[in-house]
Amino acid sequence: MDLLRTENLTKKFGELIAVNDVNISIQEEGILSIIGPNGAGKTTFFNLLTGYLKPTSGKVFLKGEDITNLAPYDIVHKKLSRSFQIASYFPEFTIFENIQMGVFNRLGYSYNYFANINKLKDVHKETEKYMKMLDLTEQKEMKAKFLSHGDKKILDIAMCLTVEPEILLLDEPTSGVSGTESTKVFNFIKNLSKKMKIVIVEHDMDIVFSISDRVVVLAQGSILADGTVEEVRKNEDVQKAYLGGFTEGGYEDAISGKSK
Amino acid sequence: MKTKNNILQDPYLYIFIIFLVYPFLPYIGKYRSVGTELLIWSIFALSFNLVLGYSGLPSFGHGAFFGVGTYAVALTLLHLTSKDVTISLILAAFFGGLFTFFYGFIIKKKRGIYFSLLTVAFSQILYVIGFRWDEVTGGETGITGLQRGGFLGIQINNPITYYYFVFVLFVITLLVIRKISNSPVGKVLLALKQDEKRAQYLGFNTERQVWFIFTISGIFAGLAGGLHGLLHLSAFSDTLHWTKSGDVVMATLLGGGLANFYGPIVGAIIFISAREILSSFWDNWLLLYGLAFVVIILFIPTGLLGIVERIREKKHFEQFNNNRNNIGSKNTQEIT
Ligand SMILES: Nc1ncnc2c1ncn2[C@@H]1O[C@H](COP(=O)(O)OP(=O)(O)O)[C@@H](O)[C@H]1O
Ligand SMILES: [Mg+2]
Repeated sequence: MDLLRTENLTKKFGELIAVNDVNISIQEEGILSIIGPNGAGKTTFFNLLTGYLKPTSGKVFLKGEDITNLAPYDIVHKKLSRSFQIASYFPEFTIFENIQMGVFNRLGYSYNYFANINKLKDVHKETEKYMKMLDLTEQKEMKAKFLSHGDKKILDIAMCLTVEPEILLLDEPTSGVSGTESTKVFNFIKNLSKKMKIVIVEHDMDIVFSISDRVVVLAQGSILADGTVEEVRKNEDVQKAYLGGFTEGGYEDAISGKSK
Repeated sequence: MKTKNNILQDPYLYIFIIFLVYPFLPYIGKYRSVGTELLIWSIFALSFNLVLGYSGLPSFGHGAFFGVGTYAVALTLLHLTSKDVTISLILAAFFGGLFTFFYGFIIKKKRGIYFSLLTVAFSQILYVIGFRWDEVTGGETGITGLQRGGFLGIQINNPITYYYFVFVLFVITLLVIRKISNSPVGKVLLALKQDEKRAQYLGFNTERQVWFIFTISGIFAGLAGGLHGLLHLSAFSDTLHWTKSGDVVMATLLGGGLANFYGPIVGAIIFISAREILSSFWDNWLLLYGLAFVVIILFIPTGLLGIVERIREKKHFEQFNNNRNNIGSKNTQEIT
């Protein structure tokens, strides 16, 4: 069965059709990349999949279940999680507290009005696990707002992991992250893909072509191409859409020139 | 130094001691009803701050739930029993909670200006009912001449026993709200105030959390209103008017409720002292109070106790800023 599937998914903002009749099936294996110029509807697509926006028409199925009208908090509990294009975290909380939030939700303390949060041993232990995994132990008492840009993106992804997702949607995990840092973020993601399905929106074509098993190209809300890296590279429509074409180095300039 | 730090961290025991000896303090101690007002307003502002300071939701109609409590007490004393206040106070808290439960359900998804306007609108509806429904609420003249009776056989008739009666309820309220603020739910509220979308994507039903905390806040607001009715032995519809809700908003902001758990108490002390004491020297005390509010908020947007948070923040920043950069790169290296 498909892990995630959309049926004629459409979202209009007034006259603008941000996502246009998208049909897509996402299977259990490999990394799926979604690419497309700015404004193509990639973020909107993620917002529709995770319940933050309601589609104008069409449906979303998660493991066969219709989740179109569920809220993000319900969908997250069904093990579909997502990160944000602009890193999203609680700036006034320490790094530890940021991770702790996801952990105590998963462990069922969301409506506990009387436990002292600092004395919940299971929450503490589980949170420490993530601290170690991310090697954040040293600065765990630091407020998240003091983190570097790249680390904020990593914190965002780490928070997604606390819900133990089976599918993780990553929205431009390296946008604004420096070159060397971004390679590291990608190694991190690559490791994650062994444990869960990864769907990633990314602008860096080098990276997209090196890690993806499947690439979907969105343009003006519609699917322009869908296939393996080779298929998409050769696709003429795609080459046209990305001005310079996918010659060595050319596509990267074309994309980055268009995107920011 | 260490104890000084503790006072800043969590001074609730000191607050209890101060209020415990208040009636015996020289000069101010003789203003017993001022002390009682202080306690009542502290209960009200602490409960209000669960919504404003913790959840970041600007409710501008909270006076209505306070007023509901006042009427609950007045009406039960009038029609049910005037011997014992137990039922009256339970009903005050109950109706405070019932109204916020229903209203919270309606507005739990609203945020920002819409949330504020809807709370104002609701309090105005209640105000008009209180003002117009003569047969029940006494309309313009309100309800007066009530009897305080006892509490489970204890006399709370004279000002000093009533003061201590309210004191006990204040202690309970503070401990309960403090407990909530240190609980997972307290954390969720602070989280949704910072980034509600993020909290939802961690699995929190933030709308339901808002609804519940609004209700809890209403229970204590109702209790405070009930105690206020018992203090003055009367109920007037103008407590329901939305401009009255402004008092608790101002006091909470002024004291520093946005930044500190005890901000609302500091705010209540300033507000009540200004209203009860300053006003006896100068009719235009509100001018002074308003000015003080503007000046303080201009310099410390998070209110008086915001200073404490500011100092903490500065220390925190210094502690981490030195090795911030190398921490950053180290961290990503070892992730791979
Ligand atoms: N909430 C919104 N209201 C109105 N228009 C929107 C909204 N969100 C996105 N859009 C528009 O929809 C289009 C797709 O946006 P987006 O999904 O963010 O694209 P991408 O992530 O591919 O860059 C853009 O034209 C954008 O301006
Ligand atoms: Mg986007």
